Amino acid sequence: MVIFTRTERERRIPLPNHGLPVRDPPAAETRFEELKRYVAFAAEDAALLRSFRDVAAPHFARIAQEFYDRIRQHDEAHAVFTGEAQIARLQRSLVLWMERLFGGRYDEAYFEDTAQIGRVHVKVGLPQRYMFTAMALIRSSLLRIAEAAGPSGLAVMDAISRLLDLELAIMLESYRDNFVARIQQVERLERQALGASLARTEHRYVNAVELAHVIIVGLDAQGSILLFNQEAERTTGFARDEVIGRSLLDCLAIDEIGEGAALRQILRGFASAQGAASEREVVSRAIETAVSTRAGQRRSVLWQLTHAPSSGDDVCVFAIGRDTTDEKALLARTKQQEKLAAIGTLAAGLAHEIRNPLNGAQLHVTYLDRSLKKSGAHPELIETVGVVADEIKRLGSLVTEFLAFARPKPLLVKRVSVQTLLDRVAQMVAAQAHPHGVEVALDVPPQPIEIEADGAKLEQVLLNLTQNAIEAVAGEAGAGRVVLRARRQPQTVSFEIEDNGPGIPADAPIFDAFFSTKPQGTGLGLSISYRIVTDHGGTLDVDSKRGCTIFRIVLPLDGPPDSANRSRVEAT
Amino acid sequence: MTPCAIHPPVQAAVTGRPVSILVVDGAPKTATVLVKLLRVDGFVVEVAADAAAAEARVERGPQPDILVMDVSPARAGEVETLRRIHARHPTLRLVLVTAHPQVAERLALGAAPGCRIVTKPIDYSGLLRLLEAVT
Repeated sequence: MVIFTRTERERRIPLPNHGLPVRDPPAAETRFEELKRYVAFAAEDAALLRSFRDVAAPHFARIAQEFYDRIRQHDEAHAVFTGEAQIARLQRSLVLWMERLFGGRYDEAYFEDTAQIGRVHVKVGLPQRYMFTAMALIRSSLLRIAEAAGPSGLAVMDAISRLLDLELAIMLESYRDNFVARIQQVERLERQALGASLARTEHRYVNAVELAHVIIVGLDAQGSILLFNQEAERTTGFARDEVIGRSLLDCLAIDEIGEGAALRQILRGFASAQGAASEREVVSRAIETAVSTRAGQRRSVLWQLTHAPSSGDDVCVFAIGRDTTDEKALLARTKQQEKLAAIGTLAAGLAHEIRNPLNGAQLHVTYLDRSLKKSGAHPELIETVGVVADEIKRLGSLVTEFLAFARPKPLLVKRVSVQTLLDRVAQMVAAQAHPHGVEVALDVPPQPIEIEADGAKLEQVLLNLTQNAIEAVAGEAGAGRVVLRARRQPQTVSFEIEDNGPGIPADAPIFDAFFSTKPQGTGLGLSISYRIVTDHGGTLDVDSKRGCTIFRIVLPLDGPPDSANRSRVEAT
Repeated sequence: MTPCAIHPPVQAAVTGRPVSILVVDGAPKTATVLVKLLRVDGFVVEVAADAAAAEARVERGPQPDILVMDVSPARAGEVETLRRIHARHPTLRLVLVTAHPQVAERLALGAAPGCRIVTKPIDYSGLLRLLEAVT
């Protein structure tokens, strides 16, 4: 075989580097030209091949015959073909191909024809090893013909070798092109699959995090917020762009109160373990802390912290939280109601035992009082009996109020006009306010506000708070002023009873039962009011300083949250 | 030293006769003092010890104008007796005195719609206003 040996002509060309001919490649050289330059296929080769055509042509049919006979003897190579009909057709094609070899024109059209043959080989799945061996077989047959031509045949042999190298190189390019195309296709499919997989993963996890009804906050090793889900936004009122990059503890004002200290300690522990620890998850116990919302309200959140560091993500701590504020309030309310129900049962029994003897006492005292007055008794005696009468009356009121507090009538919820309610209260207190020079002013919006509530009980609360306010300012020097205010919020209505009195001492347990600063007070007025408001699902609180005390009631617009309050009936 | 009959009798607006009251109370001392007070204020007053006695008295006639009755959810049959009295004598005014106004209200209003409830201890001047209002 002479295919890869340097010919005499090649040897005349010096090869200083890497065995490549030193000829600068033309600027716009085609692939075929480049290959021809590499194998040193020149015009003289073309001429030699053309001139040898007539010598070689009579052998073409025989060579093709021998070629396919060899294939028939080789099972694997034969298996490439579909049958004898195809082999007969290809045998004819092989003859034509050999005629083409000696055609003398080796231009771009020639290159394209050869490339096309290569592509057919790829298409039919002809293994490269068979193409190589087949080419060697043909090469050998053709070289033998040239060899037989004597000394002049040597140059032809070189030319044949070069041309067949070109043929092989071009056909191999088809395999390469196909291989590259397949690789690209595989890569494209893999990219598509990866993209789809990423999109799917992102869709699932983003939605899981965003739609979850739990607070999910991702923190870096320093405790700065990097992830803040929708529930976190909803609970805290902070938008994520306001908190990203800020410290969780600072942002939500998680102080040392309650389990805040424990939470801080756990975060510090995670931070110190950050460098040393492997990527192993560490889950904290449940910790309940207070957090501040954007509006400054304090809410209670039950946290669980997970240390899950990853080399590919700065988020290494996941704080999963549940807002337990309403739950705790409900629990407290339920407990309180259970307690009150128990007290109520006791109170109902006691009321009977107290009211009956009181009734006898009161009627007798009334009789005594009248008799003394008619008999012209000493005023001191009459006054003494009056004191007893008053005390009996007070005891009766106490029983009544205590029952109202401990065992209230079920709420009778109806649509109530806020303006009408406050107008009535203002009218009812006018007689009390006027003698003390106290001004009672209404501050309500002109648009009607309506609320689902027990109008009579709500009126009782507003009356109680307003009367308290009037009493607070009545004893003061200067102009006393009480303002009854109402405002509508999206889901709630707030009522405010503001006075410019002396204020309430900070430590006065005003909402506690039996706490009173009034000589004749039962100390149950505010407790009853508080209960009525909480039974409505509302809140009652107070801001007080000297010169400005505001009692604030906030009630849900659409009534008590559970219908149980509406249907609660006093048991006998 | 009874101050009785000092006041002129309270007269019913329709009949012009003195207003008659049947007081029903199981506590004799309380009943006695209430009767004294009412008589001083011009009412013609009788006493019955319980609901059954009151029913018998009303049935016997003549019908009083007002029944002032101590009621308690603890006393079985009282509400039923009240229902019968009201059904047979719808013109008889009912004033119920109770230590359990909420329960009494619920039970009595079902048995005798229109009856008035007075919570113990009785504020006597308030009771007087009520009696004058119902006659």
